[in-house]
Amino acid sequence: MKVYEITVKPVSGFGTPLKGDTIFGHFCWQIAYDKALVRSSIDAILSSYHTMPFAVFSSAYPKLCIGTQYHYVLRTPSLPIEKIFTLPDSKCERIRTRKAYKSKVWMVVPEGGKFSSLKELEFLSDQELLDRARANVSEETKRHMRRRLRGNFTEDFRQFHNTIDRLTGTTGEGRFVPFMAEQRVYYPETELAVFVGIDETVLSIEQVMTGLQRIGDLGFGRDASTGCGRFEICDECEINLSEMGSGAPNACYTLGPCVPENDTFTEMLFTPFTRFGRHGDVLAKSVNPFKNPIIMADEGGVFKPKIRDVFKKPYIGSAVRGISKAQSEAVSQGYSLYIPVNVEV
Amino acid sequence: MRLTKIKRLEGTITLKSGLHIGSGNMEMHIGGTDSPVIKHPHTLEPYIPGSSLKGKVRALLEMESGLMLHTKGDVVSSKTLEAKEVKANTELTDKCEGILKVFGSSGADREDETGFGPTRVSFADCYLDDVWKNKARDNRWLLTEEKSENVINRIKGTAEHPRFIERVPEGTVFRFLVTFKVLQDGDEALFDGVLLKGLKLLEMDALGGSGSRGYGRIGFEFNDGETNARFKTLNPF
Repeated sequence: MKVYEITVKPVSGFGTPLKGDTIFGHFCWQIAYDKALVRSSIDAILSSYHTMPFAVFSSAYPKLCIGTQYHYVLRTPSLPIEKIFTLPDSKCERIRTRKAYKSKVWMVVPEGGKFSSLKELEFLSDQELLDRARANVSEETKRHMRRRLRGNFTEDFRQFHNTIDRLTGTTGEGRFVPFMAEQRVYYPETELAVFVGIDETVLSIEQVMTGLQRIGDLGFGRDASTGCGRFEICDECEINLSEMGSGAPNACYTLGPCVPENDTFTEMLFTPFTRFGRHGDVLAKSVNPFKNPIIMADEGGVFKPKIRDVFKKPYIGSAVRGISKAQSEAVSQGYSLYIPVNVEV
Repeated sequence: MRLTKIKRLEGTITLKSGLHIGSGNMEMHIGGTDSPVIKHPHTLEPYIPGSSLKGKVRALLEMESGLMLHTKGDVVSSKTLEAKEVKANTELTDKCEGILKVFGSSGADREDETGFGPTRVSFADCYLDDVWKNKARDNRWLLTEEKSENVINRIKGTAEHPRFIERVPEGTVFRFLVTFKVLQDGDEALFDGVLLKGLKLLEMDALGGSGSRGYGRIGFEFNDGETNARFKTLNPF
């Protein structure tokens, strides 16, 4: 399996976050609608998915140019704070700094840079990330944004909607009452990196790019037909994630939500994440569009394997089947790409 | 059903009168207007949400089709096709099917036994046109204006209930993008017969709030010259 980095540029807000498993689901719909995309049907391509995935998508992460080098802004690993930060000896100071460190939800990893310990890396809060992003934009955008000193890197924005009563041409009561829908909007000129591992005997990076381009044109996730989830594809390059982390790894830091395999890991530190999945496209109108919930380990999990063979593959996790009453063949991406790291757990 | 083409409609929307698409903002700012327009959360520039365009175009097409009499003003759904009067009228059935294919039916509808497939059209949010934005900056034009309104007391003839409505001024130019999936035979015909017709109806009507009082008149200009010429001469009735 080869791993590529695809840079995408958001051009609208997102109703659904760009997480690895949902990107995979959207890509599967692209294959289902266009057999020419990968020269195979979706059923054929998914038949061996539980043993050998044809594609593993990571979640999307901001990519910033700090100084002269590009950096990935990943989620802070789900580890106890003392494993990431050096805490002071004084109990009073320790309590104070713990609070400050808790807000540092972003981990800055230099592109192509190796790190032997997580303590070498820089961690940022959302406000600090906003400051970095602000320093990174064009002069034109800087001028536009000069009065906007507060805020977050990703703004949760509530947009009102309503239904027009076709008889009166107005909004009103009952069915026609205005309602609110939330979307997440990235800071202007943000670029995101999506890592994708592909089995090149099944599909090529050009085919993945075409599929993603179509998703970006038509919209990703919730409210896609009304403006949400638009992005542009910038470029792609091959990347070796194992060269990014530790030279002597003992754990896997995941880049997307995953369902780890049984009996493979001695230690698993992660934030649980329940995916209340729902079918998209035509199956959204099926009798039961809701998938069974899946408890996943959210991105930023740290998994310490029992055996070193795990590091031979660029991904961990498993495929999740039996999740849908409407489509028995439906499968969810429980795989995740990872960066090998060395942690003391 | 197979995705054979993704058609794109790109161009600009020019405001022929002030536009008010409310943000529904519950916060009161000191010196702020009573009813602000929707703005991008980071840049604070006004924009036209794709949902406003899609919703108004669909509502106008449903009004034109006459189907609203059978839905009691509600949105046309696949249930509408089961109404006796709709079933008996092929023109109504065709219009209903066209609307459902292009704009989609909600997840609350019954199972998609009709084989219509997914929603064909996707409206992007429309942001300010870069050329116009530079022109506005050079000329120090404001991106929004305030319009004061009141109610005339019918006995005294004096103003009551003064209020300040924020609008995007006439002349503002937005970029728009609409994508359309061609999935089945006949979808190409829906592009002209439903989507372009709907956009024409919108140009003849108004977008956003207070349309009956002059707000929200817009004009479309398509990048593709041929589409532009076809649109100019299109008669939706």
